[in-house]
Amino acid sequence: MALSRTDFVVLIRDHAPALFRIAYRLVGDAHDAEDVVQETLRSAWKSRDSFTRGRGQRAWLAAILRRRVIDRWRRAGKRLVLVGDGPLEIPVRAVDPTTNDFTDEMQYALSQLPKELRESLLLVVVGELTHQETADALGVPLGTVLSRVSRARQRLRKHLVAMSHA
Amino acid sequence: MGGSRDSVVQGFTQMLHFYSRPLFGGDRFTDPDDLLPPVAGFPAVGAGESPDRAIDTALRNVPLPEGLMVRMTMLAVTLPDDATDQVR
Repeated sequence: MALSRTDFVVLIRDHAPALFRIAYRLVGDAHDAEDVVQETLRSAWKSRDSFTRGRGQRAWLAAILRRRVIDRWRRAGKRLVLVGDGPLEIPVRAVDPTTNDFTDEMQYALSQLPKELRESLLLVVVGELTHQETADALGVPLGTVLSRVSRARQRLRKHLVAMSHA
Repeated sequence: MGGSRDSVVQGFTQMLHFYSRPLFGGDRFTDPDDLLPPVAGFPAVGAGESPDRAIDTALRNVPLPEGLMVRMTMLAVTLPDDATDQVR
């Protein structure tokens, strides 16, 4: 049964804050994070007919948000150049959106993590998804998520200690 | 984590050194002047709180922009009904 608009508004009330926080920790900028959340919600609305009741709503939204972040990164990695009668996409080195303009040391420490560790950690800790939901969203085994979250926390501790001594 | 509890506690209290009150109930850090400045965005560890819990708290410590929920709700009520992935 598809989501009604009323259901959708309730869904936003319940999950938008967490989605924003995940997005912010992934992209490192509040404006970009809000854009990502809006794109996520538009995508979720378009997919409402396929939403399965009883399925973790936040896990569903977080999976969509992750794809929107990846899309955004890929778009940032290309530059349009007008050649002849039409545009030509020139691949440029993609800029990791989390490596610029750090607003706090935690954001910088996060940027030092490998992408797969960062994603798993943020979905579990900031998104408050279960480890199984995170594994499903990322398409990896449960044990992989457990390992990644543990390793991510260890590395964050090391980075934060190193930064505090710098 | 290996080692005696005292060494673990010492290690973590040295790591989380920016708090103005003793950690784990000890009296090691009683003078705030002995402590380094806090790491921005990293909240104090409460008594008995683990460093991992402090990291989790810090990760979630992202203030929401003013008006965010209003804008998101407005988006929800204005999205067109015919926006769907299904081909009709």
